[in-house]
Amino acid sequence: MKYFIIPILLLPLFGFSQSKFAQLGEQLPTPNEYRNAAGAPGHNYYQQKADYKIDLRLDDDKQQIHGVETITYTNNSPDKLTYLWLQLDQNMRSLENSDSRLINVEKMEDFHNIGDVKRLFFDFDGGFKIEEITSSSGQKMTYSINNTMMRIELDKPLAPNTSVSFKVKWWYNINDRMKIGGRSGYEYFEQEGNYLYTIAQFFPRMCVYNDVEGWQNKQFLGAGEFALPFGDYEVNITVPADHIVGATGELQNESTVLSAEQRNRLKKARTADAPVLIVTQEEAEKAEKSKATGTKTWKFKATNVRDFAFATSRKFIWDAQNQAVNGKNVLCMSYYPKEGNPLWERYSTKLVAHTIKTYSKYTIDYPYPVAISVHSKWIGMEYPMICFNGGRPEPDGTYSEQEKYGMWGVIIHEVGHNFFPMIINSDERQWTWMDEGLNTFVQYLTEQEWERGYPSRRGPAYLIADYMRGDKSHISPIMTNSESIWQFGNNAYGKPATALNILRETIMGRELFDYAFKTYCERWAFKHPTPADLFRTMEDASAVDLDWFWRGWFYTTEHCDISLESVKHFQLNTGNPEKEKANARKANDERDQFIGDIRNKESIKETVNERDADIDDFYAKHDKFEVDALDQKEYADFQKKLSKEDQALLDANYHFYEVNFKNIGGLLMPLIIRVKFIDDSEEIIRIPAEIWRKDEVNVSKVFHFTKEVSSMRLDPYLETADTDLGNNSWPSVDVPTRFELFKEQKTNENPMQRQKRVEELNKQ
Amino acid sequence: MKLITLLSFLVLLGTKNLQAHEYHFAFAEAEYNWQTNTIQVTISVSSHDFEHTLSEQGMTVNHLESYSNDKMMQLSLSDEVLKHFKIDMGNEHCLFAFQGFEVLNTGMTHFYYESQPIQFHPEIKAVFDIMIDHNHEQQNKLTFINLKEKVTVAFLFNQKQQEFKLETTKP
Repeated sequence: MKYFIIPILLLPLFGFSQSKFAQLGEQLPTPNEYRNAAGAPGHNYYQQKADYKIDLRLDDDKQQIHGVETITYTNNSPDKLTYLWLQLDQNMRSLENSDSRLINVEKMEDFHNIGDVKRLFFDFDGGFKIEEITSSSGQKMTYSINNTMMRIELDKPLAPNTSVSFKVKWWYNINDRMKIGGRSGYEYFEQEGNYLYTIAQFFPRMCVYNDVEGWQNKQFLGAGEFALPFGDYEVNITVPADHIVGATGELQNESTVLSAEQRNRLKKARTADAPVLIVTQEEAEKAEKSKATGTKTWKFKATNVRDFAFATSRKFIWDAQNQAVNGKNVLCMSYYPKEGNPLWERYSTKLVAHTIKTYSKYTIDYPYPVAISVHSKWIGMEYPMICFNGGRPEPDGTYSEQEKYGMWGVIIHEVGHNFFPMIINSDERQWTWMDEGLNTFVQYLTEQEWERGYPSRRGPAYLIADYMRGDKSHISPIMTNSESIWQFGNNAYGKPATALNILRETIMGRELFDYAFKTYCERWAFKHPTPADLFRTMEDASAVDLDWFWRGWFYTTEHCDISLESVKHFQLNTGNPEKEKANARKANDERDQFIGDIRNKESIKETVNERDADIDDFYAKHDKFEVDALDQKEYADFQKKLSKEDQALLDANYHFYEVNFKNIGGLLMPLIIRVKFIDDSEEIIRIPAEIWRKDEVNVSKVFHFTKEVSSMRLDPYLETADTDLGNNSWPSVDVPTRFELFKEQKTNENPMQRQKRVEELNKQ
Repeated sequence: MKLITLLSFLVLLGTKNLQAHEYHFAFAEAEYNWQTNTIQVTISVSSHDFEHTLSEQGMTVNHLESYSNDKMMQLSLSDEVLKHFKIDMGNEHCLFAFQGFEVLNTGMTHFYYESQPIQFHPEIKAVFDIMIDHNHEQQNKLTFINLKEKVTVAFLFNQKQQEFKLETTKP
């Protein structure tokens, strides 16, 4: 429907609700000398340091690990510390020091068969056995264990800017990762009797003490991972002599543990731009057929890392290549058993190199000398410079496309964790999203640079819509502690990654976003950022007020569902009676008619006034659409008053469209409108989210064009995570369901099967 | 048949799964088609989660995409899905026929179903508890579409059934 108007002044709309645009002041901690209002470390920012010297012995017969570690803890805080806290993550599997089983909700209906019941009685003691803690002078120190945390009493308070050294002796039973799970553990290869160990969170580790919460004091319950202070590590790992070891840091004794041939190959790899095998599959297969009786000690050093992990097995194939990052060489490596091939030899190390290079572009230059991917069936888990990744082909050496993408995705993700949180060291135990979400976001960017059209599972806005719509009773805001999150994956990985993607593509634009995001990474590399530091830096470095965005996406569970409610078409009244009266006549002729009038035209053969000429008077004979002399005079007078600009405006024949939008989901988002014209051309209009600042539910906007519009579509590029695309179009367009799309393209063969048919046809 | 939980509990606490990476989410989109008087359904599950669940149930399964030409196996998988997806419209129970499935490289698998013709009734009772017994973190959502109306409800470990009423009762 078209309306004709004369320009009038519109009164501003009233409705002063600004709750969604209110600044986040009350939600964020007050800026201080440690963390400033710009989101950067404050002038008195400090962090502690924990250096380790560890001697380890792997017992391959009993699957135990024994360690003696000397920790030197430096107190850089302004506070005197009367005790120290350490994390004992392996106690999550302790029979006596773990609440993990107790807090799991269970019902009898969970136990369906004897296997379920057996598992209920299954006991594995994987907790730390702390044998002794002694001071640097050899005196026994007092300690107490509270589940996954251990407090060590100090003889005298540790003053600011002083250090204390002490020694901890411990051991534990390594868990069978394939039977009872775990981020680390071993995989047993029954046919040949060999083990593949991926060992992490394996030694008593210093907790973080900082300005935000003092001693980090949340127990390890399983979901919230960890945060640790940075420090330097010297680790000696004694393993069976036929094992190959990969670990955080640089190998210090190549000449002792590697053969001359292996050292030559490693040397070649250091400058190679494609993977070079250091241990071949043939050599690994030979090694796994026997078991060495002696041992070797592999020595590693790592500087400024927040943790240490390693992998060891006689089954390992090992390859490496160089990746330059701003002139600095990074040795990218992979360790995998033959069961990982052919996927692993073909892709793993190249993926490591690509990830290091791409993340360095968007965050900070990768600072460490090595980056390692180790194959461990089923899981993906990250540690500094080393990560454990799944992606195992079938026993016959074939693999599905899904397995391939799964392996690619997990390697990029876990190597990417070097940046979040291994370097940009957020507290995972408090905020899973700060590392998983940010990492998943950069993972998406990295995947898209690996393969055009890469089927990333998380990142694009439209992929989060199913999760965000509807019933909100059991989903959590992103700003929820790690252990209390409903829908962990969507909440902590998917939604924050999507939010950052939306900031980059839609709210801020790539240039502003990339600069601000890199600034955050540079400010907080090798430090402990909090959510407020991210929120503040992104605004500080871009001059974009994002408080409304953080509030909606991170503090609520609202979703985006904005509807294009109605469109009204207007044109200016030119005042020209020839034109306007003709338009009025046309509109009058085209108006809807009452059914009785239509039927009467036929059924009433002649009315009285048609028969009797005396009946019709002036009013009956007057044609109100006829242009008379007075109309022409008035138009002439009107024209005299117009400036040239006014006349040009009237002659331009603009089409005006009043478009009404409704915010159904509650989440504020920009309006992106694709306008199509009757000549098939189109225009994209982008309106910032601030249009909702006076009314968060209903807004309208008037657009003017020189051409008539044929259709409008809201969010045409699927960039706002709109959960209902069915109300985004004018005229209304039915959006097909997934079922309807499937029916349209239904086929019973997959692309490879079709290709086979093509090949058979070509043979004929 | 309901599934193993203690093992999954231990795995949940101790690891991050390769492809799922804490996915544990299934989604169903159901639409009442007034031309055919049927309910057309798409059930989307995380492929890896589903494969893992089936194998822990004792069902020997490869990757789902390997069954794209195996009708018998497809029906077997479909039966497993339908054990956990039920809709009653008024007092009438919907009988669904399997139409096909698609495995996507994003890690999701779509199962497609169409019900036998059923008289429209605005009161819906739905059960959608696929993988919920296997993993208490699993959360499923159903969006029911009737003409322009859409209702979304969530299903959880302690809330496997939902009842709702549609406002639109005719085209």
